Amino acid sequence: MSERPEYEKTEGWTLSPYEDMSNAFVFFREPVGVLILDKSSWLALELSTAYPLETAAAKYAGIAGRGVPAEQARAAFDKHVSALCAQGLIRPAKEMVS
Amino acid sequence: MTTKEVESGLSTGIFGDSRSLRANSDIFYKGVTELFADVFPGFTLTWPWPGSPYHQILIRGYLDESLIHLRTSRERAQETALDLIDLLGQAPAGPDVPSQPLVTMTGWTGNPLGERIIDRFHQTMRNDGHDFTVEMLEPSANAAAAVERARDLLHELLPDVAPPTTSLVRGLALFEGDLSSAFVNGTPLLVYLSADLLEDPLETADALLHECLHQKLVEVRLTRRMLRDGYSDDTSHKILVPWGGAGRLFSVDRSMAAFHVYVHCALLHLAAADRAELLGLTAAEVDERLVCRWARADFFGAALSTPEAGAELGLEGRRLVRWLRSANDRLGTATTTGGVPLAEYAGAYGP
Repeated sequence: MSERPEYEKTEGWTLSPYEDMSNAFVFFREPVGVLILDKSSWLALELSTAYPLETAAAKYAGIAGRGVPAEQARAAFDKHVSALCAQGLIRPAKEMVS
Repeated sequence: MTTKEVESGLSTGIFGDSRSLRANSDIFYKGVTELFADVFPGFTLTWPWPGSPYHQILIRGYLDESLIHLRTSRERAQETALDLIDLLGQAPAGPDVPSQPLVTMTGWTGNPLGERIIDRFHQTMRNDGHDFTVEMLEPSANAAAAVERARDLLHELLPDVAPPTTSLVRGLALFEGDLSSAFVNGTPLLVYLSADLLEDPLETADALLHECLHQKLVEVRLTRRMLRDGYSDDTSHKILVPWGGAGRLFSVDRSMAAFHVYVHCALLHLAAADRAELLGLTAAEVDERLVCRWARADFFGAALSTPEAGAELGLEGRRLVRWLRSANDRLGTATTTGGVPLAEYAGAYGP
């Protein structure tokens, strides 16, 4: 199994956390705009681009999914990853694209 | 005891902590300033912004307008951002107004920034369907002292809520005109106060709090999803307001802002109840103002808790409504100076 993350962050945006780290603003250059990333989406962003997907999902469940069934935590993680792709914040890592 | 307990609740948490709201607002506008400098050639503004209230009010007003245009047209957004740069180029120093919160503004005429603020006030009013006009005043020594007294009274009556709330606002514009006070989205960080109010310190303190709370809710909106995705004032569920004339309809967004104001202003009047005489009022007069504000807050609390209104709100908008409703219900257990629990005045909205 690859040790590389399956996803990488795209370019053209910067992230500024709220003072209490509860959420973050994301400032996009193209198209120009601002969005608010909630804490669990932000966590999924960082984990999915730092670890292989299964490891990232397990870590996500350990942090954000405590007290919920494992399959529910996994579904939430997958949903965040899909949304982050749709928002243009992450994409499949180049090395992973065949 | 009720006053202190409710005040403590209203000055903390994600909706109440003004210091945290200000910090997040700074993070937001720093990011927007850097973004625009990156993507709009000729946008030369840097963070931190120039410190004068005139500059800050206009910079934020133009950036807000540009962000709204971005939803539909990058070109219009860029045009607005560059209009700001042109304007700032006409007045690099700006009038000599102290850089302190809620400073009473001077130097309106012969100053392009002051004249632009007045233009934007009237433009925003026209866009909202109002024909109010105002004439800005250079404050006399007496007027400036009356504003100071009202602010001191407000801060003394609500020491936890009021100082951090008024500190969110940069300027106060004294005017003569058709309305008693105002906050205008086109000129954020500025509150407008009619000179006619100044003879009544409690009414002035109430108006100051009222308008500064609008700024506070603007800061909340920057960081929290208060309304559902796709919300529009035009198509929103409407709430029929049973005072101020027949057939008055408020959108859910406007109702939420009014609810936010009335809860706090009821709290202010409860805090003022034992000093009516010092304020030049009778106990019955203070009671009347208190009851009216509490009952109006109670009305909005119920109206915003219906499924129809709830469907227009975002997750955190519904949370704000519950938070305010809990505070107002707690105030309802307090009594007027006449010894009657406020909760018995549900429906006493006044004319």
